[in-house]
Amino acid sequence: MLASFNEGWLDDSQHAQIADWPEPIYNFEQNPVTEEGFQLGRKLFYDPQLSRDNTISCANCHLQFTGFTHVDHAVSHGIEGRKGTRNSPVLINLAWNSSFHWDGGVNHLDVQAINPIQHFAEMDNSLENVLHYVNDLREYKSAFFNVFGDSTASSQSLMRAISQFTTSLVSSNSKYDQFIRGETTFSKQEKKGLKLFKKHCNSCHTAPLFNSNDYASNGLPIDSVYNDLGRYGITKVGSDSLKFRIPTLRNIEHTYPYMHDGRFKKLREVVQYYAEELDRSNSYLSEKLKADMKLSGNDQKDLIAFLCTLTDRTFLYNPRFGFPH
Amino acid sequence: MNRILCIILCFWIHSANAQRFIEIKLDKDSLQNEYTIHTLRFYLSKFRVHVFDDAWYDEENSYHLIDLDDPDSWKIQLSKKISKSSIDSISFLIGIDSLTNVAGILEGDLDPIKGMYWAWNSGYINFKVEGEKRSIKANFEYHLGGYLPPFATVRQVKLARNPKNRKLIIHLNLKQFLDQIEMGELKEVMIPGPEAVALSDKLSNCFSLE
Ligand code: HEC
Ligand code: HEC
Repeated sequence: MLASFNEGWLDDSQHAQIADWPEPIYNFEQNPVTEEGFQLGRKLFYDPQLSRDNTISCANCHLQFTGFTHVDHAVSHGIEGRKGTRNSPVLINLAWNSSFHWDGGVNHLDVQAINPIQHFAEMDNSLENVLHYVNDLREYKSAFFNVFGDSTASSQSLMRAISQFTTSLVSSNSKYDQFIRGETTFSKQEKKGLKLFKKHCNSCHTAPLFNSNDYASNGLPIDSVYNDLGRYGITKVGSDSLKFRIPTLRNIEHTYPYMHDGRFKKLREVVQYYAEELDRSNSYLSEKLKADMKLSGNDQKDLIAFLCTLTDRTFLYNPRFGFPH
Repeated sequence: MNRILCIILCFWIHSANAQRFIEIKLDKDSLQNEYTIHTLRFYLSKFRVHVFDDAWYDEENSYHLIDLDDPDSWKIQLSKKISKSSIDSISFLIGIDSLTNVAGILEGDLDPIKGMYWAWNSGYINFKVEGEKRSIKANFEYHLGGYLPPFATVRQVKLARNPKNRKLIIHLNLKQFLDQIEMGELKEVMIPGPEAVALSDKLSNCFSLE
C-alpha cells in the first residue's frame, strides 16, 4: 500500500508491519525519503553545533532509548540549563500526526524544528546561523547537494532533511504488533489488560497508533507553575481550555515522566490517576471519561501489563536511529 | 550582447500600451508629525486583475512581502501584460491564505527566515508595524496574523480603477489605520486572537487605488 508512493521511506519488513495502518498524513511526495536524506537528517539531529553555544543537539531532549523523549526531567532543559515549560514528547510515528506539540500549535512537521532552534530555553539560535554553519562545512555541502541538488542549504532543505530522519522513526514491532500479526501470544494478564484498555482507553489512545489527532482533557487539574491552558493558547476558543493533544502510548513503559508537564513519574501513578483520582465532576473533562472505570488493584496491574506490550525494542535499540558514527 | 538587445526589445513591446507593474505607495506625508515608523512589513498576495466583460487574470505564485526598508519590494511586476485601458479593478489579499499557512516549509518571500512567521503557532504574520506615537510617547507593536477560524486575519481587498489614471498605484494610508487604534489601551498585538481580527478589519479599509 505504501510502497506505491514512496520506495525509500521504509524497508520491506516495516512495510509488512504497517500494512493495516492508516495512510500517513505526512506528504512524502513533497519530500521523498532517500537513504542519503535520512542520513543527512540523522547527522543534523545529533549535531550540537545547531545550538548557539554548541552544546545541545536535538538528541539531548529526544533520546532514542526512551522513545526519543527526555527522561527524568519533568520539563525539558536546554542550553545553559534553561528550563522549558513542557515535557518533551516522544518522536514516534510522527508521519501519522496532523499537528505537533502538546497544544497542536505546530501544523506541519517541516516547520516544527524552527521551534527548538530559535527557542530561548532550547537551542537559542537562529535559522540564519544554522544555515551559515551548515553552508560552511564541506561534508554538509556535499550531502545537501546529493539529496536536494543544491549544495547551499535553504530553510526548506534544512527542515526537510530533518523530517527525513524524524518521519523514519517508526515503531511497529512491539509485542502487541507481533500478537496482532499472530507471531506471539499474550499472557492471561496481558489479555485481560487489552480488554480493559479497549473499554476505557482506546477511544482516545486508538490502536494501532495509540493516539488521536485530536485534543481532549483527561481531567488533570491545571499545573500551578506554568498555568498551561493547552490548546486554548493556540485557538483562544474557550472550549479548548485545558485540552491537550492525545499522545501515543507506544513505548510508554520507557517514556516517563508522563503528561505535558511530566507530573507523573511512574506508569502505576498514571493508571491510578485514571482509576481513582480523576475528578469526574470536572466541567472540562472529556465526556469519554465521565463514567467511573471501577478498576480494582488487579485490574490496574493488568492494564499496566498490557501497556508494557507496547514496548518495541527493535525500535528503541535500532542502531540506524542512533548517534551516527 | 544578445541579452541586452532582448531586454530593450521587450521593454519596447510592453511599454506600448500595457500595464506591467503595480506600485504600492505609503502615504508618508500624513504620518510625519504624529508617528515614527521603525518597521513596516506585510504580505500582499493573490493578485487578480479584473478586466472589462467580467473576465480576470490571476497572478501565479503571487506572494509579495512588502518591506518599508526595501524599495524594490514596493513595485510588483506582473507576469502578464494587460492592456491598460481594459483594466477595471484589482483585488488581492492582505496576508496569506489558510492553505498556504498549512503547506509546510516554503521558499522565496514565504521563507520563515524572513521573520514573518510564528513557529510556536505555525503560520504567517500578515502585517507587522512597529513604531512610536509622539503625542502620547507610546511605543506600539502590532503583529497581525492567525488563520484558524474564528480568528482568521487574512483580508481581501478589491479596488476599482479610475479610468483616467494611467498607472496602477495602491495607496496604504497607514495614518488612517493607526488613528483608529486606542494606543493608550492597546500597545501591542503579538498573537492570533480577537485583537488581531479587529485590527485586520480596520486595516483592510486603508488601502485605495489612485
Ligand atoms: C531543550 C530540549 C529540546 C531540544 C534541544 C529539542 N526539543 Fe524537540 N521538543 C521539546 C519539547 C519541550 C517539545 C514539546 C513542545 C511543546 O509542546 O510546546 C518538543 C517537541 C518536538 C516535536 C513534536 C513532537 C510531537 O509529537 O508533538 C518534534 C518533532 C521535535 N521536538 C523535534 C526536535 C528536533 C528535530 C530538534 C532539534 C532540531 C529538537 N526537537 C530539539 C524539547 C526539545
Ligand atoms: C478523553 C480521552 C482520553 C482517554 C479516554 C484516556 N486518555 Fe490518556 N491521555 C489523554 C490526553 C489528552 C493526555 C495528555 C494529557 C496531558 O498531558 O495533559 C493523555 C495522557 C496519557 C498518558 C501520558 C502519555 C505521555 O506521553 O506522557 C498515559 C500513560 C495515558 N494517557 C494513559 C491512559 C490510559 C491507561 C487510559 C485508560 C485508562 C487513558 N489514558 C484514557 C486522553 C485520554
